[in-house]
Amino acid sequence: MSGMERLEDEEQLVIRAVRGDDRALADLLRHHYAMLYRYMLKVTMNKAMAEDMVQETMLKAIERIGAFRRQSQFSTWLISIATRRYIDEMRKKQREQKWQTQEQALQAIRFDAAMQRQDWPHALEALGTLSYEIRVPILLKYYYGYAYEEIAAWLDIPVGTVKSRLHNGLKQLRKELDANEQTRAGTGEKRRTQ
Amino acid sequence: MSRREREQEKSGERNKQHETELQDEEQFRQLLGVHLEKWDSGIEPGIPTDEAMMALVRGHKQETRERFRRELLLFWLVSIFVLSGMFLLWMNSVVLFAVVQAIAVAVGVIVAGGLAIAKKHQGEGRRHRWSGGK
Repeated sequence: MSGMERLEDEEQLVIRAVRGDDRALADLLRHHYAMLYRYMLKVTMNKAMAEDMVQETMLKAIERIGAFRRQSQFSTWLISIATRRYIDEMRKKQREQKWQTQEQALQAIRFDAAMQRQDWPHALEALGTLSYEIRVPILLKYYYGYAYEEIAAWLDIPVGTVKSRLHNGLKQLRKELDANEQTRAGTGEKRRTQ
Repeated sequence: MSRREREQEKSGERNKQHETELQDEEQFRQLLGVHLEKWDSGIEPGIPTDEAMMALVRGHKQETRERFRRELLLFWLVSIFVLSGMFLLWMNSVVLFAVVQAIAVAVGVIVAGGLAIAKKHQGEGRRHRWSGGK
């Protein structure tokens, strides 16, 4: 099936889902499940939290599908719900008790990567250490390609703040990775002299 | 400074900002791009079956409808209780009725004003915190 046909199919499914067709909505949600989970895992860096957030997003989408005006793609609509939900949750700051600590969560992700014989590069480790207020806009802008205005609306902050967070976040990442490079170079030097 | 010079300055600032944004985008690609793509393609979520998703959609729609019905019923019960109370009061003492109405309006205005002020303060506090004090 070509991309265009798939897009038309999806549009038909969305129209039917908005009109109240349960089958169409279930198909749409199932089709976007993997995309949404991957997004949430990158944003939260926490498997348990990502799963919870995906489920909550699906439930919200079922409740609000009647109000979906088709001004954006269905995937964008889901991402906007998920992002708002995640930001709300983090602002409540109740997650520390409900989920694992960030370090435990990162350990679980590293373990999964190792099981799949994948590297867990320091760049991803550094991304995990960024605060959610910086990580979310970085992923939305540079990995998913959303506009500043969309990100600002989802995070409920001014566009200028989005831009400064992106710029400062990248600077912080670069600093973190440079420091790591230096540490590794220093350790290598020490080993050679011994 | 003439209007033309001001426009030129503004356009220069815009170009500079655009350039910085492009540089940041390139920096992201260098630092994380490949690693993220590789990780992303390795993530294998357990996608729910067709039946499970259908059951979730139907079950949650049913729950939402029931919740809406319960809330509507509660709203009508409270409304009827309040309206009949006010009606009885009006029948017994018009003055007392007027006093209660005036108090209700005053409390409404105070609460609405308080909420508006709190919301304004909250917005300012949030902006200040996120902009890193800028």
